[in-house]
Amino acid sequence: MRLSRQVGGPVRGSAGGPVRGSVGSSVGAYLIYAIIGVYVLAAIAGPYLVPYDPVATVVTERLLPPGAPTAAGTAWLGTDGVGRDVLAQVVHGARTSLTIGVVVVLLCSLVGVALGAVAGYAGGFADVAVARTIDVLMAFPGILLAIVIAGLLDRGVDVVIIALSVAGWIGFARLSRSVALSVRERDWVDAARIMGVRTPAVLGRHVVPFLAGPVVALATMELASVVLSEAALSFLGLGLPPYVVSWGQSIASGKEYLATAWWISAFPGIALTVLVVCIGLVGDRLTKRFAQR
Amino acid sequence: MKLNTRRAVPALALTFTLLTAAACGSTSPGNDDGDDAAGGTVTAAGPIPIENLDPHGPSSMDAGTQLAARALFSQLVVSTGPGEFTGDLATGWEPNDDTSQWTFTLRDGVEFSDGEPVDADAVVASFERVQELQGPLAGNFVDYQVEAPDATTVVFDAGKPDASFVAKISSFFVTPADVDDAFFQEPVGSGPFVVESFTPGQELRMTPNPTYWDGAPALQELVFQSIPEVSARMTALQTGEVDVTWAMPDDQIAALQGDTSITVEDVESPGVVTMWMNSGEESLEEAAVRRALWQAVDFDEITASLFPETGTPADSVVSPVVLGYAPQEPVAYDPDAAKAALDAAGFDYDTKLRLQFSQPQFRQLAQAVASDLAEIGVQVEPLEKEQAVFLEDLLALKWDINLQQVGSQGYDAATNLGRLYPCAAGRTGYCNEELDTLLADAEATSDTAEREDLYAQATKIIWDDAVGMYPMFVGMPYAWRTSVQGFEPAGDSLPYFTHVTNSEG
Repeated sequence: MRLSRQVGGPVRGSAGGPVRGSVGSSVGAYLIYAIIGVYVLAAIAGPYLVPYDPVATVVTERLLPPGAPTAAGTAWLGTDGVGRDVLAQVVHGARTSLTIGVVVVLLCSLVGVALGAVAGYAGGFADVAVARTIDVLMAFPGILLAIVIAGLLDRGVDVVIIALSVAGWIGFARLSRSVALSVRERDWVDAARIMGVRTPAVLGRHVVPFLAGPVVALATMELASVVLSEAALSFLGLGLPPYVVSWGQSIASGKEYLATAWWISAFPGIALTVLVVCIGLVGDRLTKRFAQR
Repeated sequence: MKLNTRRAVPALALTFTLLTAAACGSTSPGNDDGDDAAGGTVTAAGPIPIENLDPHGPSSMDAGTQLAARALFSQLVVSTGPGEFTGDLATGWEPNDDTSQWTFTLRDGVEFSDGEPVDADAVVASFERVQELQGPLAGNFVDYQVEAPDATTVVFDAGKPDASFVAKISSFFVTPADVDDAFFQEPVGSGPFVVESFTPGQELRMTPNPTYWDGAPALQELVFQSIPEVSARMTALQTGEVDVTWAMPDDQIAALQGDTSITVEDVESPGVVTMWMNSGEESLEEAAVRRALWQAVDFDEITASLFPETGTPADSVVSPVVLGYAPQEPVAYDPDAAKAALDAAGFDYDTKLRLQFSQPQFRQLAQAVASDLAEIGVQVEPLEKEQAVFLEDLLALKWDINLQQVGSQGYDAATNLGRLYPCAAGRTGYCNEELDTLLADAEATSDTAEREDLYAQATKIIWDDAVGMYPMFVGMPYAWRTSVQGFEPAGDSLPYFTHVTNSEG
C-alpha cells in the first residue's frame, strides 16, 4: 500500500505535523497571505486605478508632503523631486517587482529542476558536469554576477531577468539533484526500471513529483531575494530603464532628500521590506512543512 | 539588447569598489584637532574630484586639476572679471599694434619651492609642454611661438591677431622645465602651497610654501577632499569635517541657510546652462524646428521651481559677467505656437530625441524638459552618461540635445563663442559663414567696444537660429563654516585659499 500511495506523488501534510500550530500562528498566517494578496491585487489592478506617467513631471508641485493637495487630486504619499506622485510609483513598482520576480523564479526553477533531476538520476558524466558547473558559479556571489551582466548590457527588463537568472537556478539544481539522488534508490523506481519503463518516463512520473514540495518552498525564498536584487540593481542605476517604474529607482531618487523629504525613499522602501518579509515568512512555513516529510 | 562595451568598465569598477569597500571598511580622514597654530587647518570639498595634478596635459581644463593648480603653481595673470586681470607671475603685459604679439614682464626673484628660479625659460618650457601634450588647453594656442629674450621677458607670437590672449593665458600654469608624469605625484611649484600627500580622486593634503613670493599663507594645512555623494558632503560640512564647499544643489541650500555656524553665499558666475540642439541631425536641421522646441518648454517655471536659489532666466548665450554679453529677446513659452510651427515644418513626431547629460544636478531639469516636450508630442529620452562617455559622445556629436553648463574662461566671450561656434570647431552641428566671419573679426580686433559689438551680432545669430536652448544663468553657491576667515568665493568655482585662516581647525 505504501508503495502505491507514494508512486502517485509525495505525501501531503502528514497528520499531526507541526504546520497547524496554535490559533495565534494561524491568524498570523492569514495576515501574511492577506498582505501578499494586497500586493498581487495592486500589481494586477493598481495601475488601472492609479494612473502614472513616468515621463510627465509637474515641477511646481515637487517635494510635497504626504496628503498635500495637487492639481490632479491628493498626493497621499507625497510627491518626488520633480512632482510625480509617490503612491503611484509604489503601486506601479509593485507590478514591476512581482512580474520580474515571478518570471525569474519560474525560469530558474525550470532550468534548475531539469538539470538537477537529470544529473541526480543519471549520475556519471552528466552529474559531474552539472555539479562542477554549480561549484564554479557558486564561487561568485549572485548579486556580483548580476551587476556585471547588467552593466555590460544596455538597460532593459529582459536584461534584468537574464542577470538575475544566471545564478538563480543553482539553488534549484542542487536541491533537485540531492532529492533525485535519494529517490532513484527507492524500490518503486527500481520496479519501474525492471518493468521496462523508459528513463524519461521514470524521471517524469516517479522522481520529479517528489521535488514539487521542496521546490515550491525554495521558490518562495528565491522570490523574496529576486525582488530585493532587482531593487538593488535599479538603485545602482544598472537595471531598468528610467521609463520603467521600480522601487529601487524611487528609493535612489530620494536619497538626496532623506533629511527634507523622507517620503520619497521611505514609502517604496517600506513596500519593498513588507513584501520581502511576508514572502520570506511564507517560505519558512513551506520549508518547515516539506522538511517534515 | 546589445552588448554595451562602453559600460563594461564602469560596471567592473563598481564591482571592485563594492568588493574593496566591503573588505577594507571605511577609513575616516584624520581631523587633526590637535593643531593649535595660528592659521589652523582648512578642509575643502569641491564638487569634482582631483584626479591629476598636471596642469598641462589631458586634464588641463578639468575643474579638479585647475583648482589644485591654483594652490600649487603660479599663473602669469589671474582673471578677476570681464576684461580685468591682475598679475601673478607677470607684472606687466603689452600687445603689439595688431595684438598678434604679446610681451609679458615677469616678477623678479620668484622661486620654486626647491629654490630654483621661476624665469622666462621655465615659462617657455611650460608653454611648449602644453602645446606638445595636445590637451584641451592647447586648443587655445594653436600655431603659437614663444621665446625668452631675457630672464624676465617672455614673448608670445600668435602669428595672427588675438585680442583675447590674456583671457586664454589665465588658465596656464608655470612648472619647472623638464618634468614628466612622475613629477606630478609630488610636484614642485611656485604657488602658495606645496604637496604633502596626494591620493588621486580622494585627497590632496598641502602645507604652506615658505618661499612663496607674496609671503607664506598663515594656514597650517590645506586639504582638498573628494566626497562624491552630495548629501554626505552637506553632512560633512555641518559636522565640521569639511570647512568649505561649493556648487551645492539648490535643494540643499535651504537646509544650510538655517545653520548659524555656516555662511552661505551665492556669487555670479560665467556659467550658462546650455542645451545645444544638433543641427547636423536631419530632424533638427531647420532653425524653425529648433526654435519651436525651445518655445515648447516652460523654462521660467522650471528654473523657478528647480533652481530657486541659483538660477535666473537667461537672455543671452554668455552670462552678464562675461565680456561680450548682449541681451536678447527672451523666448516665451507658447506650446500651441510651437506645435503649429513643428507641424508647418513637417517635423517627424516618431523621432526620439536623445537628450544627453552627465551631471546629476541636471537630472531633474532633463526630466522636466522631456515632460514639457512630451506634451506637444515630441519624444525625448534623457540619457545620463558617465563623464568620460559623455565627453566622447559630445565630441562625436552623438546626441540630439546636449545639456551641460558652459562657462567662459577668463570672462571673455572668445573662450565660449569663439571657441565653440565656428564651423571648424564642429561642436554644435551648426555652421554659418556669416557667424564665422563675425567671430574671426572679433578675435582680430583689439578695440574692446568693437569686439563687444561683433560678439553682440554673433550672439543675435546664435540666439535667433536657436543653435541651442539657453534656459538660465547659474550662480555659484558657496558655503563655509563661520570659523573660516578670509575666504573669497570665486565665480568660476575655483577659489583661492592663500589668505584663508580657520580659528577652529
